[in-house]
Amino acid sequence: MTSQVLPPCQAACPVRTDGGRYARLVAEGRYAEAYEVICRTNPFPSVCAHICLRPCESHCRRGELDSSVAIRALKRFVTEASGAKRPQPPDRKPATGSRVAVVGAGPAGLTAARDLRLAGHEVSVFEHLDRPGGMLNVIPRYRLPQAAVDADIDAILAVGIDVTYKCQIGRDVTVDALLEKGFDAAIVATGLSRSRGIAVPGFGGQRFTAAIPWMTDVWLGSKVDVGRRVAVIGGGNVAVDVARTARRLGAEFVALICLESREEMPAEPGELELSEAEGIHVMPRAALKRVLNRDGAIAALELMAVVSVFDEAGRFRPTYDPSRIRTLAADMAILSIGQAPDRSWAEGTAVQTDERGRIVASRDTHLTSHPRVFLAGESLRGPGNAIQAVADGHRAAEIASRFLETGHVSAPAPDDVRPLDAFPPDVMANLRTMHSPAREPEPFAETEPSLDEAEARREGDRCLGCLAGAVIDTDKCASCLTCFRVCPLDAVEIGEVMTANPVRCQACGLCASVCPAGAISLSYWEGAELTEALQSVPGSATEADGSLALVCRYRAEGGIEATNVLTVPCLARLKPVDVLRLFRQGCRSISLYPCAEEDCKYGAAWRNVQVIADYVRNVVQRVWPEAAIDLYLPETVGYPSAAPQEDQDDRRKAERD
Amino acid sequence: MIVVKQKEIDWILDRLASFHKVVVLGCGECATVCFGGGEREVEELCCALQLAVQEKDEAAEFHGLTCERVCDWEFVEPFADTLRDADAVLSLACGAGSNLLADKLETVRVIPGVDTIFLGANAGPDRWTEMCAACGDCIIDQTFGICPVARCAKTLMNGPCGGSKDGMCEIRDDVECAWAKIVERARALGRLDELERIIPPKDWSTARDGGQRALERADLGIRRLCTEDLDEG
Repeated sequence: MTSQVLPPCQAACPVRTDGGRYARLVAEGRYAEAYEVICRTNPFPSVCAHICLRPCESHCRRGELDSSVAIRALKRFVTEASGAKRPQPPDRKPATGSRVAVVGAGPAGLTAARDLRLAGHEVSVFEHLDRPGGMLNVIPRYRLPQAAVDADIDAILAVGIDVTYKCQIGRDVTVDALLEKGFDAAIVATGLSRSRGIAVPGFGGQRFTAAIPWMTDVWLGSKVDVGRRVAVIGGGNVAVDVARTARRLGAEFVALICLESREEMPAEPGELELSEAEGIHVMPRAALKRVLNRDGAIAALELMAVVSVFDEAGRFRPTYDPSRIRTLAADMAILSIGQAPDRSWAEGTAVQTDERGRIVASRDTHLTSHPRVFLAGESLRGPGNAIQAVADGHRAAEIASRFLETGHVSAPAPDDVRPLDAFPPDVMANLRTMHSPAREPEPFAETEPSLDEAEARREGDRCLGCLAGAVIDTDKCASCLTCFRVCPLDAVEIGEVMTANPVRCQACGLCASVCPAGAISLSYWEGAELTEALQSVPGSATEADGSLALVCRYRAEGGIEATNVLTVPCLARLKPVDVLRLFRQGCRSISLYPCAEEDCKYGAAWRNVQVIADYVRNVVQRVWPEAAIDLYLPETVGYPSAAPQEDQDDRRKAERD
Repeated sequence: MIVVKQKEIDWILDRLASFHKVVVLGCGECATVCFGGGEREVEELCCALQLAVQEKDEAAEFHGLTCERVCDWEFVEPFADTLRDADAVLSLACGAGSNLLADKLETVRVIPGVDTIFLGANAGPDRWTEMCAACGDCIIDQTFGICPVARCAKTLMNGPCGGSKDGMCEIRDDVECAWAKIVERARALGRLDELERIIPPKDWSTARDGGQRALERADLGIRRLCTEDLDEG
C-alpha cells in the first residue's frame, strides 16, 4: 500500500485538519469556508484556537524559510473575529435504535458522543462534575476563555445529547447497571483525574496540594487559596500554568522546581521565557528531598541536586546528589508531576484490571475485557493534549458505531500517511521571506494577542500551498515545454509526461496562465472558479460606464477609485482569455490592481500581470481600438506596514530571461 | 515541428463575413506548441471575433473546438456533426490538417486561420526558426547538420555567396548566413577538407517540385491488420 502524501501540517495534526487550506481561504477573505474546513474534523475549534499545542505549526514548511504560518492564530481569527458563523453540523443519520452511554464530558467523551449521535445512535453522557468540559475547566482562563469552552460545548450538545451531571461512575452508577438499563455499549472517557504524589518526609501538611485540585478550586471558583511564597514542583505545561496562576493571584514569590534541565523540560518552548518575564523563578535540576513544616504548615522545602533524569536508553531514571542541598523558604507547595487514572469504577464489574491495577484494554480497538465497554482519551492512552483527545474520541466512536451496526469490534485500517518532503535548498533560495504579523504573548496579558482582519489575511497569505499546486492534465498536454521554461522554481519535470513536482511547486499559477493547451490547473484554486466569477460580472454593472477594476485579493481594496470592483485571487494567475471575455461581456475599460511587487509572495509570477495586460491589449485593440486595459501599481503597501527591514531582503535568484 | 502563425484578424473577418455559424477549430499538437492554433488561441480568437462582430452589430456565432490532431481524421470525426452543421470552419491547424479537413468535410467551407510558415525548431522563448524544407533528399551529412535548402536564402549547395558578411545573410540583418555557419563548424571539427568536395545539384523531384508527395510503407503491414476487411470470429 503506498502512503498518502499530505501537507506536513495536515499530516502532523491528530485529526488531519487541513490547516493550509483554511489559511489560504482566510487570505482570500472566504471566512465561512475556512470555518467549514476547520470544523470538518474538529468539534472543538474555539478551544483549540486557544490551547492547541499546534503540531501543525511545528511541521509547517514555511518554518524552514522564516517562521511557521500561525495556523492556530488564524483559527482564532475565524472563530472569534471573522464574523463567520459556526457551520451547522451534518444531518443526523436515521435513528439506528441503539443507545450508547458515554462516561465523562471532556474533549474525548464529547467528541465521541457527537459522532455517535450524528451516526444516528441515542447518546447519554454521564459527568461527575456539575458542568461539562473535564480538564478544559482547569486550564487558566487567561489561556482559554470560558466563552470558547461554552461555544464549542453548546454546539456539541445541541446535536441532541443528554447529559447527567454530578454522576460519578462507580459510585452513583456502574457500567454494568448502565448496560443492563438498556444501553447497548459504553465508552468510558474519564481521563486522568488522580494526581501523582511523591512520598517525601514532611508531605501532607497544610498547603501541600496538587495541581488539578488546586486549579479546580481556583478556576471553578469555589475557593482561592494562595500562599506568599509558592513552590510548584514539576516542569510541564500544567506546572507552568499553576505557577503563572499563582503569580496572578498575588503570590510574591513563585518557584518552578523540576528535575529536568531547562533544555529537557517538557513545557512548551516560550513558556519558560514568559514565566520568567512574569517573575517566576525557574529552578531546573532540583528534586524535592523533604518538606520542613512548622506548626503544621509548610515553612521550607529542602531541595537536592539532580545529576541526571534519563538513563542511556532514555528511560526516566533520575539520579541525585543528596550532598548538594539548598533550602527554599515557602509556605505552599503544589505538586504538578503527572496525572493517573481513577480506576475504582471498574471494581466489581466485568472490566478487568491487570496486576498493576491498570484497566485491560486494547489500544487498537479501545475494547476492555467487557465486550461492550470501550475506553477513550487519556484513560486509554495516558497523558495527552486536547486535540489528541478529540482524535481518540473520533476513533472510539467509529469503532463503537461499527460494533453497534455489525456486532463486530474491529480497529480502523491504519492511516498510512506521510508528510510532503522538505524544500530543496535551491527552492528555498528562491522563496521570498514575509514578515508574520502574529505577535508573541506578553507577560501578564489578559489573553494571547489576536490578529485583526488585515493581519489575518496577510498571515494566511504566507501559506506556501503545499500540495495545492499545479496539476498537468496529460491528455491535453502537448509537451510544449512552456511550463518548464517559465517556472521560477524548476518544479516542472520532463519525463514520459510532464509533471509538476509538488515538493517544489508553490502554486504561483504562472504555468496555468501561459499553457497553450489549457492543460494546467491549480489543485487548490481551480481556474474554473475564477472563470465563473468573471462570467458572473453582471452586464448592467458595467453598462453604466463600462469600467471594471480587477483587484488582487491579497491586497487591501482601499484607495481604488472605481465604480465596479472585482477581486480575484492573484492577478498573476489570470489567463488572458479570462480577461478578454470581460470585454465580450460589456467592459470597455479594465484596470488591473496587483499587489506591490515586493508584497507579492510570488515574485517572479508578478511579472505576468504586465505580460497579460500587454497581450490582452494587443488582441483586443485590433478589433476594438477604443478598448482600454491598464495596470495600476500601488504606491503603498496595502497591509499594516511595520515590516522589519529584513523582510525586504530579496532572496530571488537572477531572473531567467 | 510545423510552425504556424495566426493570420491578421482583419483578413479573417473579411473571409468570414458571409458566414453566420462558424466553428473555430484548433489542433492540439504543433499549432499548440507554437501558440498559433491550440486551445488557448481558439478561446482567445472566438472571443476577439465575437467582440469584432458585436461592434459591427452583426449576428455571427463562433464556436471553439480543439482536437488532439487534425491531420488524423479519427481525432476530428467525433466532431463531424458539429463541423458539418457550420457554415464555415476556421481552421487553426496547419495546412496539412486543414487540407485533410476540407477533403473529409467536402461541403463545408474551410477557411485557414493561420499561415503554415515552415518546419522549424524552438530557438528560445517566443522564437522559432526554420530548419528544414522537406526536400526529400537530405544532405546535411555533407553540411555538418546545417540545411542549405532551408537555411540558405539562395539554396546554395556550395556557398557562401558574395553577399555573406560577418556571418549574416544579405537579405536581412537578422538572418544568419547558413554557409558561414557550415564553414565554421567544419573548421571547429577540423574537417574543412570535406568542403572542398563539390556538392552536385540536387534531384529536386523528391521535393515539392516533383508534385504532391506520398509515402507508402507496405513493409509495415498495418493495412493487413486493420480489421475492416478481416472476418475473425
